[in-house]
Amino acid sequence: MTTAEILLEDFDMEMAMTRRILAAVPEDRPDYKPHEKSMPLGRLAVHVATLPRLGINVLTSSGLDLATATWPTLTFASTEQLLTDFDTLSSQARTALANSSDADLEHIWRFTVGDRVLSANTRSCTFRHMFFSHMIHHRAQLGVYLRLNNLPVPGVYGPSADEPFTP
Amino acid sequence: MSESHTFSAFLAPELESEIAITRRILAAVPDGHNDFKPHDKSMTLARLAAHVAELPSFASVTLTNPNFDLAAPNSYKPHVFETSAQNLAAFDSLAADAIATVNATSDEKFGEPWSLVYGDYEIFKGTRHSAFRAMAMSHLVHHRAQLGVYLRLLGVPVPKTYGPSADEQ
Repeated sequence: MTTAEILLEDFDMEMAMTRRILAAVPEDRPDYKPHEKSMPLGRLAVHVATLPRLGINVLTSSGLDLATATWPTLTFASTEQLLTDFDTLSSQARTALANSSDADLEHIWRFTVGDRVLSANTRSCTFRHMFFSHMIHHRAQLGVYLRLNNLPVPGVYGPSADEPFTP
Repeated sequence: MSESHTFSAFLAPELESEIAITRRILAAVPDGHNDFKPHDKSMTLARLAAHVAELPSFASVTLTNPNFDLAAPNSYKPHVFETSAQNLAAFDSLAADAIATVNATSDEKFGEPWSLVYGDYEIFKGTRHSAFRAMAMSHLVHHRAQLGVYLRLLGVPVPKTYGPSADEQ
């Protein structure tokens, strides 16, 4: 099995789960936050929807320097926009991954701020850490935000209180 | 013929990294708030912290058990949170077992079919690798993130995970 095939094994399942959570994001309270120090709901949702862009970046660039990189701002427009952006980016991420050879994925991808090195690991490892697991992390936070707003929470790895397990 | 270990060589460092992040979050769980829940429908802090601590045991469930039948008697005995220190000790032991299990698993075994069932009802079917990914690793990341929100709501400083938190740059 190639490294790309290994990484693709749970790609579609996780992206489908993320899409269900994004589709449940309400439009009328992008400024909601559960705590003063927390990210607002709209920003968190856009962050989740656009994290595949980081996956694409890892797969198609040699590294990212935060001192010079420009990155789109995380401004919430609508739930439809979230889903459109997510669908486009996740499809591009999937293609970029499928097109990556083992040698491509062994490439050491550098994440820096000017001279300071934040990480320098293989693309495969960085793809999982900076994009995939990072997305799962923020998606879970988004689920808690939905719960705290009394919105139904889609079940992810198992049942949720709103989608109980019924054999 | 010697066994090849492409999968475990690939997965073990990532598992170790996730375990290190998880350990810091579990160590930050305070005693004395076991019944805290952010919403009526949410898990309590004690249950959620215990669940995060027990999730590494899904490594051996997905990589060594033939399948997992939730309808079987005693199929799942939840780990019970008593104190943060006791919970962390349980996690350490299960996490060490999980790393050992991953390292001992051959590529051939990672490719075997595995399913999560409730009697005749199939909940998940895939390779052991995809089951391990979903049920042990990504599932851990998922509940650990929820635990981070609980810490935030309790006014406990939140350790950083994939990037800085408001309390750790």
